[in-house]
Amino acid sequence: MWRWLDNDFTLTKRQLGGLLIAAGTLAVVAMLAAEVLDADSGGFGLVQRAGTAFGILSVLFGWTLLPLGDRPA
Amino acid sequence: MLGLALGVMIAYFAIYVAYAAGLMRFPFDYDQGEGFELVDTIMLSEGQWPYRDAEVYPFYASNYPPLYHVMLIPFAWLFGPAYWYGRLVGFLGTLVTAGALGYAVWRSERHRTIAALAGLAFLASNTVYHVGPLFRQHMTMVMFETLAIVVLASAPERPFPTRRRLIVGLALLLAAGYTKQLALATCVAAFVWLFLRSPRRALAWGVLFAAVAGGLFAWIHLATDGQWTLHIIAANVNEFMAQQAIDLYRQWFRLHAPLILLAALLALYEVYFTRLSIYSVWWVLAVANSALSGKWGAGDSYFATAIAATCLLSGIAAARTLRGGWAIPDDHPFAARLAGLRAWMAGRRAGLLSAAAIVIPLLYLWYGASVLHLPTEGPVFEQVANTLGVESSYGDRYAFYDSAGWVPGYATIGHIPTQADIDAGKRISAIVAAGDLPALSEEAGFSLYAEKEVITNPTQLKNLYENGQYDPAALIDAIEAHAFNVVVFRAQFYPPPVLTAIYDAYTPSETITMNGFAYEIWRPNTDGAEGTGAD
Repeated sequence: MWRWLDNDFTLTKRQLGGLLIAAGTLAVVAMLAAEVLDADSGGFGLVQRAGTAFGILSVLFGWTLLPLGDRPA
Repeated sequence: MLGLALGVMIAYFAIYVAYAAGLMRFPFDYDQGEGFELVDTIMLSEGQWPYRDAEVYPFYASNYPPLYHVMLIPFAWLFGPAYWYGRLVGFLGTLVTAGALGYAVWRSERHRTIAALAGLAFLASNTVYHVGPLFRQHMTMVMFETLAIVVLASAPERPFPTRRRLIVGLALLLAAGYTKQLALATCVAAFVWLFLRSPRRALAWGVLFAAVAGGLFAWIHLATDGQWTLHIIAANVNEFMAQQAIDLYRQWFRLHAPLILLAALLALYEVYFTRLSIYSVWWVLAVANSALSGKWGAGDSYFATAIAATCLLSGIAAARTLRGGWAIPDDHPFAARLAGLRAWMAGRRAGLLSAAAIVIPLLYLWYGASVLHLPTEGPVFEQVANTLGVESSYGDRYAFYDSAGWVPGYATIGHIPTQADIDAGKRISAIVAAGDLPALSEEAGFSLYAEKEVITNPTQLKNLYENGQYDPAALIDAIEAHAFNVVVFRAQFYPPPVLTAIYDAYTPSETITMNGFAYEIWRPNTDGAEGTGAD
């Protein structure tokens, strides 16, 4: 659990992929949540669309890193 | 062919030097806002903060951090208010940046010609060309950012920078941030990369960095009664125009496509086959941060950091291609599946290297053709322009060809000011100098030349007003009382209520063209007559 706080710990490709998937998911959820919470804002705007697109891209990109395993990021 | 590409880049460098020398001879604002950076420098040289209450006379405040202006203080002490030294420092900063980019490429791949090409390619960019020699802090920020990244980049065999490198690199990052706020993305890039290498040490150094940066921030906040925070943070949240950012991204890609493709190739290679370098992380975040070019008042200069990172990464990619340094590690998880590709590459190594010797120079020549820009009048330039069959992109406004074209946010500058421009500036200054009253001018240069007090910083007043942080009542009272001998407009940047007050109390008198821009001189209405109500 706390191994990541060791001095010689380095993130792996798989862990980087996991972080990108988590960040992308969070971005998509945030964009959708903003629409739900502020439905009167005038529709799904350009920034929200861009945020969603980048979130999805981040998830896909992170997913491609998972097979690279324990190689250092 | 590599020599030909180098020749093209050297030609662009010569154009850049001629342009910089021309700007240093010009004693007025060339780009709107330069004069206010000079005012910041003068204030700091006199021991005053430029972060002040903009609601009281002289209604002036700055929205930029102070380091660039602090660097210019010795010049201000020696030479008084003048534009040349700010432009000189900006210009020299771009040369340092180019040198650092070239050095980083050489350190990585030991290829001198490509290293030189990488540095010169940065100076050949249309954006760097027209922003570099201005009295603006932006390119000094890019210099500090680049130096920081190059210092932090460890030798490949070292997983984490040494303590000395960290101290110097983070000090340079701090300098970048206190030159312009936009450097935040480079700070994030550096710490993301450090985090990938060693989360524990990245967090420890991050806390230290935040403490120093925050301590400085708090000190200036207290010293200016909170005006620093208001002007640096609150007044910088401007309207975002997504279409402007999209257009500027398209323009950036069109101009720098060959280098961007090379940079992207290396970044992807690092992601999937080796380790991510700090250069790749910096490049990704710098490109993303360029989205801020869509803010009101921002523009193509916001791509300067991305351009520096692109030149660096593409230089490494180009040099590595020429020396056949791309390889798929034996222990890579996909090594077995890529065995066929590896065997094919190994069998055709000589042919691939020969092809690279043609393709790489062609990419730099393609880049050279993409970024074509040059003055179209004057010795040598006119003949070159005629030979190339290009003419001014700006018609009669001024003599400059720019392949970038124009999109909203792109600065329409780049020509070398003429004697007629200097004479026009002196005419406006003579009008400003008349009488004892100060002038209300959208550019500070005329008041400084006339040795009068500089009143207002219009774009900052507009920033504050748009954010609900500015009550223009006192300035409107002064306008209605004809407290200014003239008003000098260039783009009518003032907040709408201030413009309305000027329209009511002043009348357009004459227009003087300088640098292709029409400067309107408005004089007080006589006998209480209403103004023309122009709007």
